[in-house]
Amino acid sequence: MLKRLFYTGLVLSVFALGTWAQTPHQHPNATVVDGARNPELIPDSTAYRLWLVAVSLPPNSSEQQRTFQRARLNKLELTSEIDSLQLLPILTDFKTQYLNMIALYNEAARATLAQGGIPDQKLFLQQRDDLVSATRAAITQRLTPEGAASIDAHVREQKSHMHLQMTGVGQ
Amino acid sequence: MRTPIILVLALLLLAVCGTAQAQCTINTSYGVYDSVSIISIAGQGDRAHVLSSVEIDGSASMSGSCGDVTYVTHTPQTFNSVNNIGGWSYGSSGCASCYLSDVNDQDSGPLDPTASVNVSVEGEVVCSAVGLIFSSLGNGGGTFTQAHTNYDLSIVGPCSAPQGNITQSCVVVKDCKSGTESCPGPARDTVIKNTCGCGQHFDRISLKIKNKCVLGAHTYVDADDLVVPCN
Repeated sequence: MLKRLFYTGLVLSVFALGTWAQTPHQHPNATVVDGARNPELIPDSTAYRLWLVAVSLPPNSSEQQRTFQRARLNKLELTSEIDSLQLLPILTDFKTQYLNMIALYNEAARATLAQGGIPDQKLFLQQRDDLVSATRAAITQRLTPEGAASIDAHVREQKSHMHLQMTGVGQ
Repeated sequence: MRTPIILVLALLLLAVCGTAQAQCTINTSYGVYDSVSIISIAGQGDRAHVLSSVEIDGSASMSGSCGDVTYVTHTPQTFNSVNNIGGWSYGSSGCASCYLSDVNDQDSGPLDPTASVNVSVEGEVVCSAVGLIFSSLGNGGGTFTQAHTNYDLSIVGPCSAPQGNITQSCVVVKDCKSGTESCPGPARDTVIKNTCGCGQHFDRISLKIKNKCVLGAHTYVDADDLVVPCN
């Protein structure tokens, strides 16, 4: 009789454990990086991505958007007008490709989730980072060394205005 | 004696496996970037405007057993207020694994030359199933003041309209007749205006926060009717 009670209790406790385990969502401990305190913890590629997204515009941008872009780019203090002229199409290309890439990934992600699958985020994140690398390379190749250096110094300085939160997935 | 032990071990294994499979873990990877800049806008009485931007960019992913998340959405929310202009802005919602990228810009409007500017920024991502999954107070908030350096017109460059955009270049030289500049400008500079005509005097306005000049944040305004000493 005691044995039967023991096994019944054991089985019930297993079910209880299972119920506890079905708590809807778990948030792993977040790593929060404040660029003002630890700029060295923000990778250059991430800083470039956040900066590029902020300063770039799609081809059909409004006058107000262009005003904001001018204000942001003024902070670079580029001395060569050629650098300014070279930079704008690089930024437009980046924004166009970035938005297209996100739109395509999101469409595929929605379809995958609807079929009960898990979207391949790793591939997308690799493509995203490749685009940032290619854009950095274009800046180095098409601007004067002084212009490219000025942008690099500015982006590194801007890390003090960046915050990152990462839990598990690599930035 | 061996049977109960095996049964106990099997049940414990089941419990552990059940725990591992039933948990749904949300991994987030978001970045927030805020920036404040200053510009003079043609046709706005040649006054400086402070522009503030907040950007949120990144995504969440899920692992484990999360059930049907087809209808779960993630929404980026940014708070951007410049002298109480602006506020919360809600970006487009995406699916639970979708990539979000949103920028919220605000303009202070034309500023009086001695006005200070209060900026507040914040970024969040809200999940329709579990609520807030990311929140960040930006570092760019605070009270900004304007620092002035006075310039005189030296050379009037050509006025042209390439591709329909009118520009005029005006070469200016520093002339602090009174006061001491706190965000030093160059001795000589070229101001590109978006109208034809250079005034006789210019004011180089820089942004300061906590008595520190914001790197690169400066603009020139035609200062004929704005006599503010260097400060």
